[in-house]
Amino acid sequence: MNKIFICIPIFCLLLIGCSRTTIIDDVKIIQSIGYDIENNEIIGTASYPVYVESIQESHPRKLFTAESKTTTGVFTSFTKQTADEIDMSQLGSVVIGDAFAKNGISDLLVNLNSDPNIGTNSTLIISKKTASELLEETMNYPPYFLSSVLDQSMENGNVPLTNLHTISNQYYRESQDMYIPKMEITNEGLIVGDGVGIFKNDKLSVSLDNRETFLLKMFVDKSVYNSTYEVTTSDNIDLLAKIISNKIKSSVNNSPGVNYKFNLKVYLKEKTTKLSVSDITNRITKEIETSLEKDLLNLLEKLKNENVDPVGIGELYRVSQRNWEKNEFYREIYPNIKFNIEANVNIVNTGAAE
Amino acid sequence: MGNIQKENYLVSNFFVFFIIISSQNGIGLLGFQNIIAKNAKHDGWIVVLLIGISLQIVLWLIYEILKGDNKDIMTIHNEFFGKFFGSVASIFISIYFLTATITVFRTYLEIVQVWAFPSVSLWEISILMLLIIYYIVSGGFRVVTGICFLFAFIPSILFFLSLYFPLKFSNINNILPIFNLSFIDLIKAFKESSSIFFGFETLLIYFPLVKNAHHSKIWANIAIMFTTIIFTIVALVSLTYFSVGQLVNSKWPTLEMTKIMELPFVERFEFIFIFSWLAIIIPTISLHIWSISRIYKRLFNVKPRISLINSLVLILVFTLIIDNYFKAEILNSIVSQMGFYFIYIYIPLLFLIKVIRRYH
Amino acid sequence: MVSSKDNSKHEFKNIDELFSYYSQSSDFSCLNISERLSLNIAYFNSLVDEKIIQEHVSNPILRNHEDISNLKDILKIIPIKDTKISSDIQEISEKIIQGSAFIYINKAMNMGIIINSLTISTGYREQNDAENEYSVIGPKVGFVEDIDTNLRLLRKSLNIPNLKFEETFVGTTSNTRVVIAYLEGIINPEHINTARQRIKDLDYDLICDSSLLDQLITDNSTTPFPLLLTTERVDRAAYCLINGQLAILCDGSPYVINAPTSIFDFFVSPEDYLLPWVLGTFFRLIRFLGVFFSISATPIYVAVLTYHIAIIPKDMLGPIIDSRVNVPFPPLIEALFLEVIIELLREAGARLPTKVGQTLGIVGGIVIGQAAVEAALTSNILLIIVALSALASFTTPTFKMSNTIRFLRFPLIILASIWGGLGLVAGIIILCTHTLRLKSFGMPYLAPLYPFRYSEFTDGFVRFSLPYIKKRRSIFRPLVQSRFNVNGRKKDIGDDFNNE
Repeated sequence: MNKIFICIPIFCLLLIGCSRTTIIDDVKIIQSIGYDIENNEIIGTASYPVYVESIQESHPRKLFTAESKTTTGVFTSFTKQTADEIDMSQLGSVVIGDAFAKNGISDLLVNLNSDPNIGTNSTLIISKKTASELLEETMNYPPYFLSSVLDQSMENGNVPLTNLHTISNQYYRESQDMYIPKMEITNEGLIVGDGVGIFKNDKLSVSLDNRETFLLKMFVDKSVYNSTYEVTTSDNIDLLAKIISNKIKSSVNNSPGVNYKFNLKVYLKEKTTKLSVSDITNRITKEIETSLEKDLLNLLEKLKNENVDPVGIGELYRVSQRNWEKNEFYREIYPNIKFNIEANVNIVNTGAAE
Repeated sequence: MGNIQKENYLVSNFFVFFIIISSQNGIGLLGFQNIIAKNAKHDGWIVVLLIGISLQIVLWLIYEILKGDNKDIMTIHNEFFGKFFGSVASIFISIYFLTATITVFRTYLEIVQVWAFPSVSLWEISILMLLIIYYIVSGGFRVVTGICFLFAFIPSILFFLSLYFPLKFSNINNILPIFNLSFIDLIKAFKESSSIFFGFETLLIYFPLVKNAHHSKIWANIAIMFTTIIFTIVALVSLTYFSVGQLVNSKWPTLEMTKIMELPFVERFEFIFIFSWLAIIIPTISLHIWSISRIYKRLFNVKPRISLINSLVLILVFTLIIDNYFKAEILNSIVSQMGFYFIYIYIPLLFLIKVIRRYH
Repeated sequence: MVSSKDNSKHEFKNIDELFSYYSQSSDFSCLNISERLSLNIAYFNSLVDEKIIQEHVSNPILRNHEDISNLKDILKIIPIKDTKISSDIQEISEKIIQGSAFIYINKAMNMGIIINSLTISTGYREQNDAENEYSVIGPKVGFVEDIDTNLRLLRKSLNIPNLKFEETFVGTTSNTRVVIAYLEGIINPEHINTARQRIKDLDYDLICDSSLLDQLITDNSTTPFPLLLTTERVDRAAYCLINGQLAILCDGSPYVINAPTSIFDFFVSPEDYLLPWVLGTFFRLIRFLGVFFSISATPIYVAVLTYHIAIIPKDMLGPIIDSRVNVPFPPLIEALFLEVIIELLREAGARLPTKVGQTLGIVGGIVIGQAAVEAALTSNILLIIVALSALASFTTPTFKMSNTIRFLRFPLIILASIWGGLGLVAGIIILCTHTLRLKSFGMPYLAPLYPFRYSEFTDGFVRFSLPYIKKRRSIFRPLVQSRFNVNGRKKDIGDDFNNE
């Protein structure tokens, strides 16, 4: 008797199970989506990879663009244009056009968060012009090129670590503003990173260039490795400091002010033979320290004047007070904050040559 | 009336550890951060710790009530309240277990539908799971204990593997300043989120089937301490990983936390997580349903197989009735209220009655 | 209710009827030994060695011709054990059929001497190298089909008086001899009683092999898992006896049944004990890994490719899609197709004559596989997975368990194709429940994992150093727990540092 109860449902269900499959070679796996805005209509672009024998020759192919008033409405238009199902679960990057970013991305963020298919380590990118241009350009590169480039520059370069998770984290937190990396296409057709865009609430407000992006990374990232900083000393020697490790201590003091203390370990590169050991230990170190302090202070002042806070000063205040309130803080205290930066550089090594 | 069980149907008291751990894992662990963040903001982990500590006291009360020669809750009800009201009280307990089971079952199906198989229909997976539960429960208490034993440590292993990755993005400032909440908030958070720990009250039903039951107290205490530690660690990590706003806005924060994992072999760990969760809730549901059939067998001598089939059919019917998310939420809150009153008010009441009777 | 057990016994009323019935068969002979005494001897000449009759029966009788006057004197002369005078026609008919010779003076007296144990064992193998349970080092001694040789081998390896044998006959038409062997004082008497009871209740006609006996006395015959361990090697059977299990030997079969067992006994190879314990543990763990891989590799492939594309790492997307690009079938059909081909290859390979086998093996294995990929009927990744899991399923040392492992893959594949990863987990849960419910002779099948006995893990998953496996498995409830005494830990003899 028991066996009949088990067998009959299984036979019925065997037949049902065939209808909802997403077999891997029958679906189009989307690798990047782009969003642009034009006349209040949202234009979506998507690209999916086509794999052939050798990985080098595989390249993305672009789906046609589609227009809609909502961010998810573009997907239904995509399905009209392809013979296979589209599948979003392997999404690598989301590209946002400049105009779209200035218009507000809160809808997009909420949608991306509530879709369980999209992984939170997909990267968000702001394109300097429009997203569809950037996606068109990636068609000449292997699949998942954009996200790999960005991942690589976050680990070993000058861009602070961002992905969908950190961005949503900052969006929902009241005491910090979002920052999203930017990319552009140079005149020769290369795709390069172009700094970082900082948002106020959910609209793009300030853009930082490459050097300032590195300074932002020093503040916000936990581990800084292989980032480079160029310094020109007072007697016109150009040096490159490669940062191995970075420790920050931050504290709040009473006159509204924040103290930052950095402990850096660097490798010194690009040194000319004219420098001696005592030079390096005293003068060069001091020069690097002063230059770094000055640059960091300039960045913080610039951010203060634009009234954005990607570094998280509000967070520092919230931790030390019992009743911190966002609007009151940003209206009254933040514009008057004084910053105090101290950097300790330790030149660990200068290479293998003498 | 005591309860002499035959020797070969007993399990040794060391297994109480595994049974309690398994029975406490429900789907609470997947979504509880939402509840604690809503009420206690970033001090939610303190609330979890306090609930765990309070449950040790409740466990002590349970053992005190059950002292004597191998009684279970049905005999105690009959003793305290007489035959008629005793049976009514026991039937209430069985209804409580049934609704708790329906909640866990339905919520898990919800998660599977939203995250893994958007186009699957509810009754397919329900029938599969109910067949599995029938097979397990019809093997008797020893098989149920065996399943609890085999799958008890799966959440610990999963969390051990997966909690390493969110730490990369975590930020200790999220939980500072500590203890920033008022007493009223604390009480409210306590009441709303205590339901994640419930499940261990099935101890009242299977107590006679444990060998040397009174020596199993130490194992039960260790079990509750273990679950408390795990829940607190998960709460801490979630609070440092997500900001409070994010937690309030997401339904299943634990699953979102696993989205960030990237192993060399597996790109998205959360599917493995969700499917292993099936192996975690099946012991819980089987234990509760076994308890229900045991209650009816002891009260009215109903054959266990009949009450088993009845409970499964009822679960199926209710799962199909609750066909959207809002009704499930209502059921969830009903069950959590029921549980709160049962554990924090009814059990101390029973203890008081026992103390009063002893002094008469 | 009259069972067929009783029907097959013919009722004979006197010797005349008996002989006339037996003489219908051409191998029944009735000879006259001595004219003067009118002694006749009757026997089946296909069962009896006629040389023995001549040397030990006829010659002594003829030599001592004068001293014989009645049957009792003949009894004193014949130097063979188990000779007796009997007038019970039933007994006489049974004994003649089992290979005894019958000496009588005249038929009317219905009485005569039964001379027992005249059977010989030609036609059976003399020795067995135990190739199916092969181990590189160690004795290659295996049981043979003749039960007397087997009993002698067993007694030689356990040279103590505790070893007891109990003999019965089973099978209504085959009347096979079955012997239960056990170590008295160690084994729990419950097991012997269970075995005796089950064999007594048996009602079957032809028992030609111990596997039939196994299936008839086992606890649960609808499970794919083997519940009683059968072995060909003498050292394995001896080891089981020492552990408190019993051994059942069956005439005509080289396989000995051991009962009760637990599931970990099926993954133990005798080589584990013959190598140092570190290596033994390592190889045992590899074996378990092979089992898990073999059960779950193909279902995971089917589940991931059909439903859960998101799990595949981005770098592997390319090769996987590329390998499937021309295949017209869904992964389920592809996987079942390949699995069935491998099963066909295995079945055919077991029956091919050796000369043809090698060529066809190469054709079947290599060429068909390659051609299937080229013809885009399957993908090459799946081919590798299926071949590896077939290989891994043969790592179990016992033949019965490797069949089970090979079979268990199919339900899991089907479940994985209907419900994806959820189906796979559900299948594993059902498998676990099924093994939890099994009992072997009343003992839980999953000991020592569930009823958890910490001290018995020394011989389950891993194998500790030999002096540490000193307790018998309590799940068999032996009467004496410890096997030998260990006096403290042995210090390494060559310890220079502390002694120099």
